[in-house]
Amino acid sequence: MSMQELWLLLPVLIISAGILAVMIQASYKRSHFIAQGICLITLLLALAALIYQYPNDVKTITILFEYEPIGGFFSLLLLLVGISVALLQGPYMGANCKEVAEEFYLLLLLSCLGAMLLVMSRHVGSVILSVELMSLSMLAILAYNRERKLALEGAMKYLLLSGAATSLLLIGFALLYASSGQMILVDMLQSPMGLMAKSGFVLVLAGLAFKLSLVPLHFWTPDVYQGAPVNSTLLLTSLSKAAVFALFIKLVLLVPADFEADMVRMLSWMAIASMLLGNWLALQQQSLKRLMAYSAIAHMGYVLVAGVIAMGIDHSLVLEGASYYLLAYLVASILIFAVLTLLSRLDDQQDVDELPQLQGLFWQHPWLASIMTIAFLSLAGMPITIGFIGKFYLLTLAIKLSEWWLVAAMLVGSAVGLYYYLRVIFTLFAPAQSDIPQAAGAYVTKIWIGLIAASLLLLGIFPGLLGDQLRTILAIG
Amino acid sequence: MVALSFLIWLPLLLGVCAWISEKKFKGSGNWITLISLFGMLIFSIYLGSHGTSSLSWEWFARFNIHFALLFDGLALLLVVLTIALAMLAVMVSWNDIEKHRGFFHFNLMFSVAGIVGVFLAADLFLFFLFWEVMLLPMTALILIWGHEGRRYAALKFFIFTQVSSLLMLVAIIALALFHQSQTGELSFNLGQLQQLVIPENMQYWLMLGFFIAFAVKLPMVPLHSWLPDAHTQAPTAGSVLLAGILLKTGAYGLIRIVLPLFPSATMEFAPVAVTLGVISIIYGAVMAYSQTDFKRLVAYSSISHMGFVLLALFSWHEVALQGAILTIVAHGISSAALFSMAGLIQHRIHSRELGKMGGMWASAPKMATVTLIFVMAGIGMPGMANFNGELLTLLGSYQQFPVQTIVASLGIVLSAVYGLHLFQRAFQGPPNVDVVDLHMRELVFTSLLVVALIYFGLQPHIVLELSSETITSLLQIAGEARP
Repeated sequence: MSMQELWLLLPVLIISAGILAVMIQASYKRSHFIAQGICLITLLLALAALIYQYPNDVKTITILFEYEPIGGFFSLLLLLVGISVALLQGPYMGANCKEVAEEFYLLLLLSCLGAMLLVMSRHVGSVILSVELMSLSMLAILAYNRERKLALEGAMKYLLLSGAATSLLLIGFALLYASSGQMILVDMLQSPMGLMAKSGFVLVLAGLAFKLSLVPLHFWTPDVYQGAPVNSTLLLTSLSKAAVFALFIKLVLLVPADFEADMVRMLSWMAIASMLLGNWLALQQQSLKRLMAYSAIAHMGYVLVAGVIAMGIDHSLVLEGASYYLLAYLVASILIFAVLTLLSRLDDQQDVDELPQLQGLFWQHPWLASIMTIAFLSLAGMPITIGFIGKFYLLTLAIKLSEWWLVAAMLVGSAVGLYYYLRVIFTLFAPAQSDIPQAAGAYVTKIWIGLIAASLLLLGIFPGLLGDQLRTILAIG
Repeated sequence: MVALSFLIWLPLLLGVCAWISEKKFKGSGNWITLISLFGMLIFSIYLGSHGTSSLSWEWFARFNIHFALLFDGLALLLVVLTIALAMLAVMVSWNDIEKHRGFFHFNLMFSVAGIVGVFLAADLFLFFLFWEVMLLPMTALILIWGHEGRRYAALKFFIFTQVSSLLMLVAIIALALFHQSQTGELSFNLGQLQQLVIPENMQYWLMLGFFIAFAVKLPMVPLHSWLPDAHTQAPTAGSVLLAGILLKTGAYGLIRIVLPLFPSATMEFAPVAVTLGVISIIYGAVMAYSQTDFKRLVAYSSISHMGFVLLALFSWHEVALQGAILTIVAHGISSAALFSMAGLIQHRIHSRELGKMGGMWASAPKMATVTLIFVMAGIGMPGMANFNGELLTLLGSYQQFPVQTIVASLGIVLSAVYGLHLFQRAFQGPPNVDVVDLHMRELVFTSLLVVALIYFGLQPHIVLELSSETITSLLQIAGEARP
């Protein structure tokens, strides 16, 4: 490994150093404040390093990793999520929390590390290692409040099912390896595929689809989302989805031509089923976390549309569309969960997430409610939010390739989605019933959330700001 | 011209001002909103006096989308109508709104911005943006300040319009992509898209996408069911804006987009559309007759009147088109006037039920007189604005669709039935309730409305001159497309 390769790994190395620093700090003197500080500085430094040496072409770093623009863009998103979660944990735990604080940041940094490595992977070994690094630290985060029975139950479900999914991934890679004799993803998929290799590939995609909670591998999502502390749910719904999707689209783009038709059929059905079922099941939910779980299923269905079309022709628009849509989804999810986090306490047995608990939020905390409103409007794809631009990209793609089934499913899904998003918004604006306490102080966190909310509107009103640059950022075409 | 964009962001800005100042000084929001609307009225007339103006800024270069506005005669007419009716909405709900008054003014101004945006947009992407955005404040108006069934009505209103506009979005994108396949460049510009020669079959599907979105807004039977609920449950200001202007955006979309972009498909589709228009006329009138709720009755009568617009537009005849535009303006004023009367009555007796009214002439003669004038305008009495519109519509459409037009003219008879029935139940007969007669403020704006109705009734040529450019170009397109 040359000095230059090490240099390219700088963001990852910074995070690793941060992990060590938090560990040492926790053993030396326990302090929530210092741990949060170190974690934030680490993530910000990593962000700075990533931006400073943002890749404009593909560079391989040993046989395990590569450094390329699409991965770079996704890493930016991952760090954005990491910073938000780190900032939110402070007000969420409050001053006198029963749980220890430092380990959360340790686990957070570990899962960020796993996610960033996953995005950079080009080898089976690094894929498996980083997926597991991400999932296992996520598992501990999901069960972070040991007093909550539902959190433990959810974490246990996640552990078992995620283990099963990883074994699918492993057996899939094993089959692919058996037929191709290659361990590097590109070589592995470029060698001629027999039936064994094909089934291996399907198994790999199934493993990833589990992490993305695509129908029919979505059953774990609502329970885990509902049980976990709300800040951990945020991490689960954004970090792991973004990282896994980056790998997913990378693999899908590598599908050999003779296998394309079958894959298109399989993925189309998964996308259509996810969009319809996810939206359908979200309709009657009273718990916001469950609602967001089903909505995540539906939204992953939408992004999968890009994945399906990726095997078609227009590669540049596909990657732009998928990136933009994922960005929009992440921004909206961060905002919604951030508001819930600011209203909840880790010490309580339950988070604030039932709809009646939020009734009249607008009249008590207008800023929080406004942020939640625009986030839900963005998920519903209303214009002047970033979500509309994301939907516009995907619709343009689907129409361009005349995938009318996908277009129809997207329309029906959006129409159904509108109903339950609107239901939440209406609740926020209903006459207030009881006092809703929110985290006092935490101005840095609130300013950060405000900035994200402002960018949601800004990128929706001036889509050109990012949209015109996205080609250069992703270095395509 | 940069000043053109002021028409859109100025109301937003002033709405925020009204919101903030209402928080600090109670009661100031009304004045700020009213004065800024009046300023905007003057400003838009000033802009309009310079003739047609336009504006185009680069906006989203990846898809060749521009922030393009076009301000011609027809747009001027509707923008002025919008602002004037928004002023009416402020005046009519001067003391009506009890809670969250600042936020109310913000929403009012926000919806004005959205609606003006729809009338000005010359780029389909921008048009769609405004089309959706204007729903948000309107839904908020219904949801927060509406009457007992507001939640259901707001939800229904939002979902109906939103879902139908999704179809329009698909049609817009497909149109832009077709432009790309023909010329190598994506385009959402209305002017450029009009140059396209679109194959018959495709034209038909695209036209349907747009048509459904506009027909829901218009509304046309059988896509009307959101309207009675939304109009009835909305606060008076909301009903005034909904009936006065929001319905007109549907007609405007047909004039600006559907007719010029898809001439031959429209002609092919015309018999269906015209028949649906006639069904709307009769159905709206019959349903209006059977209502016992003042606002619901007026709401159904809107369906009936807007059926005339649909009939006229799809007849593609000069006289009918003129009739359509006259009806748009006249119905905007007269339905807004009737809804404000409903609001005034409801403010006094806390009910919209006609059964609880009756004999109000005795205690409130001024109110009764004004209402009688509005009802007469609504049923198309000669000398009032609506008469011209409906007469020209029937005259023009008869040349193209004689059978449908004969049935449609029954609508006028029926409108007299439900109109007089309404007046009779509310104001005549034995006195049922004692109401306070109109105050000074109410007298001012109701008499302004009366003047407007009579003025446009006697001087329709002002409206016709402003819209003549649009109508001429439509007829030219029709001439080319007609086999």
